[in-house]
Amino acid sequence: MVKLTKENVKDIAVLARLQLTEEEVERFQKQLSSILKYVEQLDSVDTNGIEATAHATGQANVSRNDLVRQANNQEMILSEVPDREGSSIRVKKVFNHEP
Amino acid sequence: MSLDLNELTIAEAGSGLREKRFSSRELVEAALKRAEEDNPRLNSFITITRQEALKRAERIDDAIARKDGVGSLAGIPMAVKDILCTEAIRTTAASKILENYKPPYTATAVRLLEEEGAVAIGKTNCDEFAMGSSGENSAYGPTKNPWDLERVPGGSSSGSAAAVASGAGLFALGTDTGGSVRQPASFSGVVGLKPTYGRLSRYGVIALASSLDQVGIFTRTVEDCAEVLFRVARPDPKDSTTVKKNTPNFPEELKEKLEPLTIGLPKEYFVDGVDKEIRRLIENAVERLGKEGHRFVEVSLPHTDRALPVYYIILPAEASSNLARFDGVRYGYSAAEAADLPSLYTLTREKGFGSEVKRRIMLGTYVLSAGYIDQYYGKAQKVRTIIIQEFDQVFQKVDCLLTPTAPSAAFALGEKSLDPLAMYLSDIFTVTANIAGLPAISIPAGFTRSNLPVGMQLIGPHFSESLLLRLAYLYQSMTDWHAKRPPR
Repeated sequence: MVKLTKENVKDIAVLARLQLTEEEVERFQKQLSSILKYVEQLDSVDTNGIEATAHATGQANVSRNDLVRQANNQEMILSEVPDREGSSIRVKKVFNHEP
Repeated sequence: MSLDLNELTIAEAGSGLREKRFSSRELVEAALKRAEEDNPRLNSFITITRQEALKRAERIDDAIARKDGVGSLAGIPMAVKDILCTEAIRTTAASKILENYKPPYTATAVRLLEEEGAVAIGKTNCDEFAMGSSGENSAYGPTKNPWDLERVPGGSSSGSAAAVASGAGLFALGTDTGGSVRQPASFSGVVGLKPTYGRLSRYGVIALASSLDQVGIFTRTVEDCAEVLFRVARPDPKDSTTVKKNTPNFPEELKEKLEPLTIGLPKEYFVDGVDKEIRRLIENAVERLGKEGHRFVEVSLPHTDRALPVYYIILPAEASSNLARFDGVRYGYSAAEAADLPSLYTLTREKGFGSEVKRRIMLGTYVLSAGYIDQYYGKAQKVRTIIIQEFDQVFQKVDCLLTPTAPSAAFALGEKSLDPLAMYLSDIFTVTANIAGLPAISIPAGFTRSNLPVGMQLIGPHFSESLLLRLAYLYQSMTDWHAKRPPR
């Protein structure tokens, strides 16, 4: 396995929506590399013809009727919103470019 | 001798309440007092819900006085891991990002217990988003082991284990994704059960890794564990991974005589890395159970050493996806100073999450990213199948397995916190049950020379909780480890 570079770590952070400090980038570079090296011992397991498991007890798709129910906790839910206007959630502008 | 209300079993507390030897208010007050007195020392609780608990206890006392029907756990104080949502009661997941979060609903497991009359005295400390094996990853400070304040109580359900061990609540709920109930139960000298995946609802549990997470139970005795399990093991329309199965009457079945069993000792769990004292205690347990007519055979689960690498791919992958919801928009901490939406996401997450959480989100994002998903996640899901098949084969030959719960007793605070990989290795004997969705229980099996508790783990086939409980009960009836209490 190629050791992660600082650039790799920064790229992953962008995908993960984390804004890491330089110190974190350095620390994660070492720690993630050693964890990845550890998990790569799976490479030596022969998995030819083996199906992947997603659910340990083999539960298949579960469906239910698509019914409307009243929850009546809208105000409780909205009271947790950091920035709201009435029953709307206000978000920052998506693009921050000058025209 | 005066009655110590914090040391009762659930059955003793129940009969005391019915016979009016004490009230629920007194019982709950005693648990609250214990929690409040010990918290500066143990840090078991993030939130203690004194007012709500006393109000609820008084309502139950009124119902008992009016001779109204009350539930089987009426008036019994419990502690709840702060990762299970409780309506209008702050639920933090031990993270800064949820510091002031009050959920609009209650987790099904908590709700079912409350419907039976149980009274929550507070929300217990844990590793942030249940990511950890020591309790040290909490944004609210580490929990201390009641047996030795210099040591960790295990994790991630650190506070629930410490609360039950120290008498703050007669039982507690935790969650177990890779050993987070069994390992702290072992370190803290209490009973800890992880039920079969799907045996009970995960609704309202703040998700870590959805294919591995399961709500678990901490008690001081096996009987209490059976009682609590009986009340929470229900299929739930709100969690489609719960299995539609009738719930056995676990407390009743506990009394049934146990036929002679064939018990497997997987040789991969008795390796050099296991502390010698622990090995000796487990061998003593095997000998005692052998004298009761149970037959022990050595078995092999050859891919045991691959379970941890599988776990540390599947867990971060699922966690990075589950934790994507913490974006500072709908609830929780929000970095108000952010100039635009993308920086709101990154700043909120950078400031809100602790180090281990970021590490696992990074790892999970990497193993799921384009070009790597088959190499890591796909591969891990296939090795997972092999591990499950090995268990299936072994359970053709044996009724259950007996192993140490952890390779060591409680380690010192700070001992492993700088080396994530060393910390991960403390879960080596517990992750397999989560990977295969199996039920497993840790019960007290003795003490090291330095008076630290040691746990023994029983693992069984899917939905074999009743068998595991009966075997655990038999062992408990031959020993008095469970009756020992930490120094006060």
